[in-house]
Amino acid sequence: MKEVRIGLIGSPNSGKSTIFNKLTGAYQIVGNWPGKTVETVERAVESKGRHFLLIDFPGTQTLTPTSTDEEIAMEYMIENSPDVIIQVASAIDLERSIYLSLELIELGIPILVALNQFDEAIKQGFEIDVEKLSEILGVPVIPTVAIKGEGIDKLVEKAFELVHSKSKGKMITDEDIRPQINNVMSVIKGFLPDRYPSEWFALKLFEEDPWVARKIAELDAEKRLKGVLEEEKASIKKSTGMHPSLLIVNKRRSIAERIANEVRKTKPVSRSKFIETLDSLSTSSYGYPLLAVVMATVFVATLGLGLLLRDTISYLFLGLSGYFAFNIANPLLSAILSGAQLSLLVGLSFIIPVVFSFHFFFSLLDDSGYLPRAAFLIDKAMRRIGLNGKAFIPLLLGYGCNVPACVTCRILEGDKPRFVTALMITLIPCASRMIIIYGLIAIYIGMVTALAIYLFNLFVVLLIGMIVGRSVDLRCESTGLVMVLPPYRVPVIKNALRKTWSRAKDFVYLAMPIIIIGTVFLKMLEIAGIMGHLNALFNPLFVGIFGLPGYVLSFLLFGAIRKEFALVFLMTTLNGNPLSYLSPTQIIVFTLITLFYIPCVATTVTLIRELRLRKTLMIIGINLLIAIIVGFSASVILPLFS
Amino acid sequence: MNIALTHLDEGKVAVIKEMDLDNHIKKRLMALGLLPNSRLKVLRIAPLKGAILMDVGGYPLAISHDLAEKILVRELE
Repeated sequence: MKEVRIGLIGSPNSGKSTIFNKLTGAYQIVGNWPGKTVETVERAVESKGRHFLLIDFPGTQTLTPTSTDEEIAMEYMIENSPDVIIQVASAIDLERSIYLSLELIELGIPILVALNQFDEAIKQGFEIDVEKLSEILGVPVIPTVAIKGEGIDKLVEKAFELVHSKSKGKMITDEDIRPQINNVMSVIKGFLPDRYPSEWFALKLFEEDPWVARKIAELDAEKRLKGVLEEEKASIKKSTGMHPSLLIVNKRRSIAERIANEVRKTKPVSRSKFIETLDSLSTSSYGYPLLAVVMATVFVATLGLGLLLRDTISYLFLGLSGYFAFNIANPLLSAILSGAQLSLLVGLSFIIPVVFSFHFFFSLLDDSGYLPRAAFLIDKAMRRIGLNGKAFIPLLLGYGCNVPACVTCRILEGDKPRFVTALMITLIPCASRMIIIYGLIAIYIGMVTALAIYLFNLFVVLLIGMIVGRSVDLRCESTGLVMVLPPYRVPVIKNALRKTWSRAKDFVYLAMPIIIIGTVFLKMLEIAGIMGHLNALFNPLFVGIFGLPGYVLSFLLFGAIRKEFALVFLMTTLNGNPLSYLSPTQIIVFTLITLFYIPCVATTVTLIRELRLRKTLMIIGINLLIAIIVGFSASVILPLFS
Repeated sequence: MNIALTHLDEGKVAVIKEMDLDNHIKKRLMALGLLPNSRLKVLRIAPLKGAILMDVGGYPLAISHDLAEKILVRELE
């Protein structure tokens, strides 16, 4: 028997990822900003004895795609149409939810609506007549509270009923233009493969959807269609006085508003005074200092908590290692063992504290709904570069990890904005680079210098964005910001901890083993005398340009795998005491180079996938160039101040 | 008299009259509730000709200044 395929679609912030997680038991990142899911994910699910494939689509407000993630969602839905679509709709955003329901019904696939956040709607004073909504749309509507798991079982049950009954809603968007649609449809049926919904194609042709237009061109049917389409469009324009594409959108929205008003009995009561004040404060001119304070707090809290955790961890570790004191005569074996021990200490006391505390604080921020407010404030500055406020979200994610940040660039409209944003992201110090700033600067130089390095980095990121943005003529391709702001929510500590673990676990599982093996490897190179040769080879170059000893090259090479390795191997090679080998200036220069010099392997792979090889090479080239300029300038300028 | 949306002060309510924008972006705005003759309320204008935050049908929607400039509205008293 063919496996049942159930699609999960919904607008950002509707709670779609939460339902996905409940059904799969997996963990997709849930956050309070538009565009968490930017890829289509399929997963085999078993729920109460039922087996099916669950397809998670990127969050989308409408099926009229304007950005890559939305287009991916739509294309996937047409090309691999699921048996049933579950639309996760927000009960507190009824108009927009119904708009998407209408579009999904047009597709001709059986759908059911999960009216989520139902408890929040009740709390806000909405009273929604679920049965009436279901009756008007002609599809099942089930109230759910995803975070508590309410209604999820019923959702699956209903979805399976639909797979068998194949009952669909009826298209109502077309009421005024039915004859025109029928005329175009009869032509389309002549060439369109059966698996495509012809009625939907006809409607989308009037709507001037670029994806459908491309599909028609692929089928080599433009000529056959052109005459009749132009004629019918003209007839619509004549009878309604409106451009057909605008007429359809207008109609759909008006119907959605009408239905919403029909099924919703009461208007919302006002929100809590505190949230109201916070909302109005965070979008006012006071929002800028607030943004600075929020960001600085996240970094200072991370570094502070990091220092605290580090002391505790290294105290415990040193206490424990007393029991395992080795007394081994063989120098090779003893080097290996001490290398392993040292790397474990460095890994535990540098990486774990920073990564975990950063992701914890960032998750709280992420869940609160603050980020879109910041995007609103920052829109003007982003427009200067030629981007819009939305680009702020991937950029900010870059401080956590560059990889998901680069993938999130899909929420942006246009190739050039995506390229420039991705370039800027690679320059942003991710959590791995934060470990370096923490381990070298915050500990050995000082907290003020650490913050100064963040500010300097931000300056470089904006400057490069400006220069490259101008040179690729970003403005012509970039559209302005259009963004729905999600409501503020009080972050839940448990969710933040879960999210922290899912974002930080790679450092434990992936990085730690490599660090231990790599350290032992470097120790062996040292014993074999190969390090000396490497030094001799690269000394002139590094001393000449950056005033750094040649052996730092090996740290940088490891750093290209994962950035924090640059710090870890520096620490283990210099026996955990960099100040006795390097001057403060050298430490700062080294840190600055690691911030900029190259995207790590994972980021590079992601960039190639998202932007292709040519643009990736351009980004790497620009990174190297910046690292050389910044490193050289710092090595010349810094000694003047010391 | 119709004026650009950017000329409204914070707190003002207006009715949308015209949108001098590409159909592509116009469709997106309409889908989000900015229909001809629909009401909006300006909540915030970010400083230095920044983005506009408005209430459309009970929900906050933010748009860039350069888009808002092309939207003509009639202010309601």
